[in-house]
Amino acid sequence: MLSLVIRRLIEMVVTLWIVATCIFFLLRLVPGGPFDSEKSWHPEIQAAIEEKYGLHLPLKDQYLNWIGGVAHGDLKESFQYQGQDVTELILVSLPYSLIVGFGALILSIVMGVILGVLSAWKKDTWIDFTSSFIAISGVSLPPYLIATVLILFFSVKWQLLPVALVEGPSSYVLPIITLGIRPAATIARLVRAGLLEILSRDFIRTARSMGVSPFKILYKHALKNALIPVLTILGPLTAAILTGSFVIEYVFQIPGVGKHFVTSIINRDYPVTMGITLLYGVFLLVANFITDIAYTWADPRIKLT
Amino acid sequence: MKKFGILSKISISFLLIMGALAILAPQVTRYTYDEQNIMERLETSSAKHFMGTDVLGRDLYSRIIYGARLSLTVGVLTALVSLIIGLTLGAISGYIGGWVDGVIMRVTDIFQIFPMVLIAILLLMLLGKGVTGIITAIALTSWATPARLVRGLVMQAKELPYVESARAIGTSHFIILFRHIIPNLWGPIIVALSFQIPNNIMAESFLSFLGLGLQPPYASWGTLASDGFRAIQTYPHLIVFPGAALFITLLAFNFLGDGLRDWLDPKQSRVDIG
Repeated sequence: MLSLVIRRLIEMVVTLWIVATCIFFLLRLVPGGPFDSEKSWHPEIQAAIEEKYGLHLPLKDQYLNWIGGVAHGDLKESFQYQGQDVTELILVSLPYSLIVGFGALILSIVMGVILGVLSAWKKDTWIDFTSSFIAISGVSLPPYLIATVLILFFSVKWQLLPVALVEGPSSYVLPIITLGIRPAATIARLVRAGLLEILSRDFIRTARSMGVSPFKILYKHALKNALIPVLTILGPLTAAILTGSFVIEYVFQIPGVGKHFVTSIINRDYPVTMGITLLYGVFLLVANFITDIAYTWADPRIKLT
Repeated sequence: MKKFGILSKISISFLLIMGALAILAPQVTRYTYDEQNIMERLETSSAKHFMGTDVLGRDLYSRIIYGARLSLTVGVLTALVSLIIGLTLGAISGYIGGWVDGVIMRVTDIFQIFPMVLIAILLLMLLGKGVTGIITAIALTSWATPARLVRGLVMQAKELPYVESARAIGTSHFIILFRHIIPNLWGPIIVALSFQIPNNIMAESFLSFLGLGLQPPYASWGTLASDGFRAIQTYPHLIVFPGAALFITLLAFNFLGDGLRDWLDPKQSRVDIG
């Protein structure tokens, strides 16, 4: 187990390095520089700025500079926000994103499992059709449309919750719901399919014939097995929530990492874009690793190699 | 074999009608997508403008129909391209195995674990925000899931007796893979395609919504929703109609995909997420 963890850690570092290198050169290929503007600056000023941020160096040196910094945990200074380290920027904005992200994760798992269990348990009744319909709608709704519907009703019509910006805990309610619905729908469909499959197995029939109550069969025997597919999508789920966070933070004006990411790309703020990409990379790789571990824990027949 | 459900039939009819409207856009609309009439701006539904007009007095219904052209083209085309890429890489990976499989799968990993929007945004900055740019960006970022699917299927298929028989009579690997194995996988591939299309339509609308996709005066469902979102408090019809068009179309594709899966490929269960 320990050697596996070590090997996976090394693999992660290599993957991150490849990603870092790709993103560095990809960004430089993009037309337009960080300090190009409508009005042309005096060449000397332009040169001075470029020198300050090391942009006058050959690309190779810039790359070595940056990757060396990353290796020491230094993500360099933002171009856009003067004097602010990217690390600092991330530390300030990450809590907002984490609250929304974790909220959505918990909401999606709770809602997904409840909907999935209900529709499998009451298969082919109106409960099943309703929750299946909710689930398939959730998959078909782009997050910004969910946001629109929620804002229209909760903020504009009934004026219960703020439209945007973070002004206390109530500001997180709509973003969390918006971000959580899609993954909840996916989980509900997985749980339903998994549970239906398990409930048709022989050991369930045996338990039933021995007079075990339906609720106990569901709770003690079927659910644990049906939840395995949910564990296994933890990785893609994290990716989906990260992706969703771009739009959610943009729509609700939350000053989180996703919003900075989108702005930094538009402004050619290379250090911020690269720093946040690496942050996402770490999140995703760790989530995938946990997923793999969860696999073996939930189903001992699977062996990691 | 399960019957092809009623929901799937409704869905496929709806999609065919939508497709026909999109193709016949100039015939079924009274205005073009960029025809402005400043005297009639921000009107709600009326006999003249069935879905109202936008901030520049453009007819919303016409814009939605022309938007269907772009959104559906982008969705279908990118799904086909990504499926071809995924099919080729997945088939090679699964059939050859060994280090080839290793390399292809690590690349697939990177494309699968990274939020596709992240890569798509970077590609869009490189390629420009036109139709070509967005098609390339979405196609290049959505082949990982089909590649993985096809790899698994090919790995199963190559152990089957018919492949061994083909080998025994001296058929080449190339012929076995592309003439025997892949044509046998059309069921799951069609199912994958029917899920890929709505995902890619959504990806386009998502990028356009962030202002990184198609630019005005082009109308796609994403740009329409994005314009509508800015006026959400004052003129909700601007987001309700394009949003509904997008939602119902995606819903139809998903119902169709579910129906096709039950019909063609009952054992397969697939994770489709973000």
